[in-house]
Amino acid sequence: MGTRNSTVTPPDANDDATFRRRLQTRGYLEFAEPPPGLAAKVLANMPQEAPALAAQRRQTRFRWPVAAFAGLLVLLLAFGTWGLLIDSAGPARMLGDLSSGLSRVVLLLTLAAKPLLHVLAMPGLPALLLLTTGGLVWLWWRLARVPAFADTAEAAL
Amino acid sequence: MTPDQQAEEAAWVAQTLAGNQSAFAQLVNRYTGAVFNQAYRMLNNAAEAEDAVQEIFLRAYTRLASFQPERRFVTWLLAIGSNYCIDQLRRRRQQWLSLDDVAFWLPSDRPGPERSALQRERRDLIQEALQGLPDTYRMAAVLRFWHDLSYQEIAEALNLTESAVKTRLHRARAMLTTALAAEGDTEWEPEIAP
Repeated sequence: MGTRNSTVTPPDANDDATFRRRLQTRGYLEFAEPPPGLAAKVLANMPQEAPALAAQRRQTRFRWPVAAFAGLLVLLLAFGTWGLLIDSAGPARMLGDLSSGLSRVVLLLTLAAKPLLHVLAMPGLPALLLLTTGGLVWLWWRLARVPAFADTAEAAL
Repeated sequence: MTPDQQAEEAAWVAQTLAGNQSAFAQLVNRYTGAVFNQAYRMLNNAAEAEDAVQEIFLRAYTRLASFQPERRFVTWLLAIGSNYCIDQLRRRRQQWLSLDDVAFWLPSDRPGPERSALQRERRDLIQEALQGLPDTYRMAAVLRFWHDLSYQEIAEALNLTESAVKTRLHRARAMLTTALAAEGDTEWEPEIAP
């Protein structure tokens, strides 16, 4: 958080006060008016439970898609492993004769997961992952974090 | 803000944490205007500012337990608002041109506030000048000049040192002066060298 370092001198404060007065005189400091009824709208959309419970629910809401995605990935890997090591149609046969809806979907998933497992078992995977991650981080840094970097550099002045 | 008001707000926070929702309503009613103004000055879009107000109060509500009563509630709230607006502006930079962006450029059909032509012109002028500042300078300027926060409060809100706040405000003043003069406010003569 911010720290007091006694670098704000009276001239700084005077410059600010003068500038603020000039803005005020010219009518620039008026607040932008919110649309009528905004406070009521905000209140109508607030959670009905206590803040701690609302925070918990909000966190759970954000975690749910991540958990679902992770679950799907694990399921896919499990099917793929089964398909590679035991029998491609094994998991699907437990659900039907491979022509019915669900068993056909599972068969498709098992077959789709096999290339994924092959990729995971690839010898150059660590290098590939490193390169991909590095590229994504660089891209993210250039696109999103460069202003923040500039701020930090400026703060050090 | 008087110490009485600060104590009153601390009491409302405590009551909200204890489950009294109407206490939080008092805070929403008191600060909707301030939060909307901050979001509008930063995002330069009334519809986005309206969504921002909703999200900022929701974040404030769910993080209320982290509020320290010795601080001013408005400073804490505007700090949440600052983070939200900076995030939104970063996201905006990352997005490709979308239909929303096109809609943003079209004239809004929302009825504007009933003000005189001169007031509207001045408001637009300062809003234009503000948009020419880098996001972080703009945020410091809005917090300082519109919301009258101290250097220390701005430093806390933006997670900076006071000297960084000082630098930003110095540059923001210079840039705003130049921009206002350039946008036709002939009475605005640059007095602070960039």
